[in-house]
Amino acid sequence: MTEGDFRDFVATRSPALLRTAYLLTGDWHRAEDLVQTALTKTYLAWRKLGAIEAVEPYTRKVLVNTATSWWRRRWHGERPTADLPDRPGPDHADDLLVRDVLWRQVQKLPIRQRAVLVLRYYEDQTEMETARLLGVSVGTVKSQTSRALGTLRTRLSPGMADLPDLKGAAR
Amino acid sequence: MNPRADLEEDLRRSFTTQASGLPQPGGLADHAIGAARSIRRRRRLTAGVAAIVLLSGTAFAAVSSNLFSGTGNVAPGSSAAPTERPPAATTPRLPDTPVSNLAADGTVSIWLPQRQQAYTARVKGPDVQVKQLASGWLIVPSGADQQTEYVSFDGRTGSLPQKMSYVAVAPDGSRIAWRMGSSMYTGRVEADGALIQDSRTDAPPVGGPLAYNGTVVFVGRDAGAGRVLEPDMWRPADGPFRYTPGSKYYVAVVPEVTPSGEFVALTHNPNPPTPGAYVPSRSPEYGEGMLCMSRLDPSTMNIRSSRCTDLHLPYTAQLRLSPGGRHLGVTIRSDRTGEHQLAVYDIDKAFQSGWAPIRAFTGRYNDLGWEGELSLLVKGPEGLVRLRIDSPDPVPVAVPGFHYLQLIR
Repeated sequence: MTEGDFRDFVATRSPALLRTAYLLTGDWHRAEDLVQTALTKTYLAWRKLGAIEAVEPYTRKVLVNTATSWWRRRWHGERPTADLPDRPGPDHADDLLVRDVLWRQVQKLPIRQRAVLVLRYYEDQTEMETARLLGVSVGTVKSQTSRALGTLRTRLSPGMADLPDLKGAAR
Repeated sequence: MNPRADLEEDLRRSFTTQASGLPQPGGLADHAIGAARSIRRRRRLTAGVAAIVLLSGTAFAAVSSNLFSGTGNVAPGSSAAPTERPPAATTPRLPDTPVSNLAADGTVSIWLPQRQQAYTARVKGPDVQVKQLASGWLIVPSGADQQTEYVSFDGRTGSLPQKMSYVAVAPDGSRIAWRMGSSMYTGRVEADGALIQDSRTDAPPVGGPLAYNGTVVFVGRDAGAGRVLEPDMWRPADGPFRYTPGSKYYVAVVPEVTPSGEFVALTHNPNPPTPGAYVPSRSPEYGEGMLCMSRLDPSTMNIRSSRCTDLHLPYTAQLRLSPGGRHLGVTIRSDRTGEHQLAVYDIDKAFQSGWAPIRAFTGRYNDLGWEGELSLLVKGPEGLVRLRIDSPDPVPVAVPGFHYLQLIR
């Protein structure tokens, strides 16, 4: 694989990597740093990877593992949300409000649980693939998912009663 | 009502909303390559210093040994830093196709091999979409501050007054659907590049037009690698966009539009999984995880006819119809086996008698375009090759001077 292949890979896959990185970190600048770090490690391993189909799984694994290691090293309190980029959809204010509440709670989860949720419910990865990416067993993925959903349900229960029904707002 | 399912669904929507509209920084590849080279230099330097220290230490030990024992020990050769080969030169390749596009040094170009003609746009890459129209191309940059550019076949260029995204072109090559900000539009591009707007509606929070048959807009979120999330439809003649009940899960891959305006899609097989069988997804709507090739009713987007295949839910997949709509090329990578396949189907026979490909090629092909009814160009790890459905042998296609390329549709 050549440097051109690497550039090709970055051009086509970096938007998706950045989205995942943002969901893992909750901060755009940190997400960019995370992707940059993952891509640098990928390029360092470029010749060893051998085949192009091995690249994205490798990069994703580095991305997730780097995010969790950063979490361990750094302060990880509640993430500020004031700097979120503008998004389309101003006519869905109620819907966005509900999701914003949920998003804030997701950001308070431990990084492993958040990573499981992002991989399972944003990337639609299987439990097996999620386990492989995180380097854990399928059972751990199941228990982390269950624990994260339980935590979210508990934290959202009182507040959700006052908010508009998500299904109704979305559909 | 299943509270767990509701929370999972809310999570999907929350993640989708949060991840939409993020800025796309440029220069990621350059930075990564630069940083990697810097790390390698540091590693070489460290290894070199270590080698010198080791050699010095060994020599000192040898001398010391000679001094103290009188034996003639020879310092063993120390392993030097790993030899750093320069990055392999990128082999420039470009297809000898009716149309192809590429981005070199950030500048987007379009190449017409038959005419030996190249066009250069003013729009900078690398994240651009190029869409072929009946009279030229639309070059749609990803940057929110960049205008869409029109390049006509006779070389005239001009900027459209809209900052578009999610552009879908109807089979007639003039009608288009697109997203701008929080709205979706349909309209047409005249031969001189003038954009005539026909209709407008509020867009869903994420996603936009992915396919358009001139009457119905197939809307969805491009999940990358050909996959679709949250598919839906908008029929401008019926008024504003509204979510279509029940449409959510069944379309798996961005559909193709036949010359007659029909949508052909890869859909999920809703049958329950066979006990003990591999199930690639937890969503019950995905059923057994196998895929069906389906014709969609353009009025309702419901499945009109369907033939299920032995293909699994894909990690990557692309559909490309031949210009006459006779053959369908499918690139797919199974998330179960990891195998790549490019299969060509006779679409009419397949819907009548089953999905046996008339030609299958094994290879990591991730982009394809038809040159006619029998020949297609595909992009793989070795560059571009031409495949004919009446021949098993791929033929490399090289055009000098280009770096990163995509096949234009």
